[in-house]
Amino acid sequence: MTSYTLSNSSLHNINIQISKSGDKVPFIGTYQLHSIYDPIKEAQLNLEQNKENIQAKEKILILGLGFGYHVNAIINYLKEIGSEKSILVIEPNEYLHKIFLDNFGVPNFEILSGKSPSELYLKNKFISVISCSPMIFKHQQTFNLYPTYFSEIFSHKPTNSVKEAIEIFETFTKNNDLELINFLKQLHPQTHFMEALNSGENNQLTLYKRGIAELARTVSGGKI
Amino acid sequence: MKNILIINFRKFGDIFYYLSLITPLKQKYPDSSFYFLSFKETSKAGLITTNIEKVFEIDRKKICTLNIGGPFAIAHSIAELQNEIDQIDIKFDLIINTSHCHFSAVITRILVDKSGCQFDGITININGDVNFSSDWHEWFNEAVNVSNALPFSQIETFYKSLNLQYTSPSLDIAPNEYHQSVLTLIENLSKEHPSKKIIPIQFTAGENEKSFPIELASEIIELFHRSNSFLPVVISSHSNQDRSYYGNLSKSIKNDILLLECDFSTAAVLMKKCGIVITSDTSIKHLARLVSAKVIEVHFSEKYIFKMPAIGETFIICQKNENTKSTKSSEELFSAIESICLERPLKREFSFFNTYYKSSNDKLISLYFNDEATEKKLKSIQYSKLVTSLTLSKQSNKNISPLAKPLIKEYQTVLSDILTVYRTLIENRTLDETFFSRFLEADQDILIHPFKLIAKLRFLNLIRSMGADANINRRLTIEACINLKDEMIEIKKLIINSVKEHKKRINRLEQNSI
Repeated sequence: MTSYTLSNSSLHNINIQISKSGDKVPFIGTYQLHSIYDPIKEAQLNLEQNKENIQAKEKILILGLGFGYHVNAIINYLKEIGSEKSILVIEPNEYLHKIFLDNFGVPNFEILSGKSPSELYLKNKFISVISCSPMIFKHQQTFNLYPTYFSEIFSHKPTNSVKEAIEIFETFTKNNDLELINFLKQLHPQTHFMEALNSGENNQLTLYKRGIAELARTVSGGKI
Repeated sequence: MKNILIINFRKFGDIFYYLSLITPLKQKYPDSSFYFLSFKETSKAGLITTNIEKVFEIDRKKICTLNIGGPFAIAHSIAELQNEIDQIDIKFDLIINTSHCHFSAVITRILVDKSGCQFDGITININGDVNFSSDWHEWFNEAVNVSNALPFSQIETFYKSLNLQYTSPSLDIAPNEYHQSVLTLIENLSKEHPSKKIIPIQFTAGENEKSFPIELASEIIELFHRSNSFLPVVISSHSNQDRSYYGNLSKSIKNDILLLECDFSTAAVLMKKCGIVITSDTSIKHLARLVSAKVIEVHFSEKYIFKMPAIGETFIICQKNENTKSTKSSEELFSAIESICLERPLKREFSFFNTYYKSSNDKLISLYFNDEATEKKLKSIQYSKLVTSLTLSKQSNKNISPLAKPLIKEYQTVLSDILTVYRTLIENRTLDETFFSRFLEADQDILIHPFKLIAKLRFLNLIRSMGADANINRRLTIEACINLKDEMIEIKKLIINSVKEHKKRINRLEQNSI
């Protein structure tokens, strides 16, 4: 995994304290992930500042799980306004996710934890949210704890190698196209995927490439 | 049992226009099941009818986001497109591509390969060259569809190519929770006002400039209220643009208006119940025809001459100039609407609306009133339509005037030359990209490059010079045909020479390398 501000041993050093309002608050070392007075009120205040953006977008990507008070605030708000939106939480610390499950059970939202930025780009859930220009909601305490991790998610650079393309096709396509994957497997893994596309040896791949190019042309102002 | 897929990647109006093919297709293939494929943002158009078993969609926004690069790999967008196509899990017997674009041609190819079935419309081969299912589509794409001067309607190419008989479209609208309340409302209104005909009106269109000016709409509403014959029901979409328009309209009228905010399927039910609609919006116009409602389209644009009627009985009234603020203009328009609704003879004293015509699928446009210039252009289009249609149908000996026979013969020769040259171009495309790049540079946006530019110039000149005299039109058409034919022959020679030179170069290179 990418290097974080805290060492791996610190990541596992999680303890739980009870806030003045009686809610559980996780601490990583001495760093608290929610308000020690009232985490629910804190989450509500955060929500107030983001209501307009939440309404405007189809999907919501939440950076940081904590103990999910901010996520629940969003879910409750969506219920209030009668809106259903897809929510995905990214949490760098897999161990925190485990403790969260131990304390609160399985939540009614999706969480991807402990994945490196490159691994996230191989996850269908993540791609389906990130490709829809989601509303990005930062859980500020988690964000402050792992700034490098989150910035690497958004500055991720694909290798565009044949190896990466095979991983993407194997992960994303429902009916794994063996002919296509076998064709790619014959090539050197480090070959640039564009070379494979231009080789013209796999007719289907050529057609898909052409389809994408035409689609991009229509969106950039050409004829539909 | 046939599984038939209709593809359309265009907007709502176009989709409704082509969904009218379902009725004649059902007549030809009674046990068929219909499927529909579009972009995600327009897929709800396919859900309005129960005659479509399943609607498939391509999320172009998602694919294009994955294609922009940045954090996404090249393979992401390709895998996504492949994934979406994999969800189209039906084995089709016939795929009808009603979009005239490269993207639809590619998707058609992929789906045709997957099902091993026939197609109608356009597709591509593995080199990216366009394949047409028939001469009708080839002609439509190459020579006829130039500068919007369509001598025959787009859907006619599908009727001819698929050998369908014209049937008035009648689709079953998928029920939703609002339909019953709308039907009850109309029944109650009919009981309360038994002498009045209920007329649905939509004043807005997708683009502001195509909507009724507020003043005109307000005056029309007042005229409806004063009349003892009609009860207007204004229909609106759920868009903010429509809400703002009707908010302004309600402020500017003295009487109340009955405003119904409808989705497409509710609007269809309303139009079917009332049997008529007045609209300035293309989607509503074509949707109305799917339920066999009579359409009165009021068109506010300078390009009135090339306005495409909906299939079936459509009346089009076009604005002459920008002076629609005059009260006289609303009276004139209302008088025309009144005559059409009550099936009375039309008055011919228009000064604000210069074109007023009726279209039905099995006949040419009937021109009721217009100025001289419009009449000239419309007649030339009708003339061109007739000749092209007879030529492609190879019906030169059927019930046509002796004057037209030699012209059609001439057209057939020219058409044959054009198609031969075009096929030569396609077959040799890979041999000399330099030659083709000249066409590509000339006009990037033209779907198939070589002939459109030439044909565009020729047909524009032809239409400009035509008049009401059939003999003169005939002579001018023959001249244009001969010129076009000569140019095609020149291009053909150029291609052949270019290919020969290319082959020589290859031979020389091979000899040198030996």
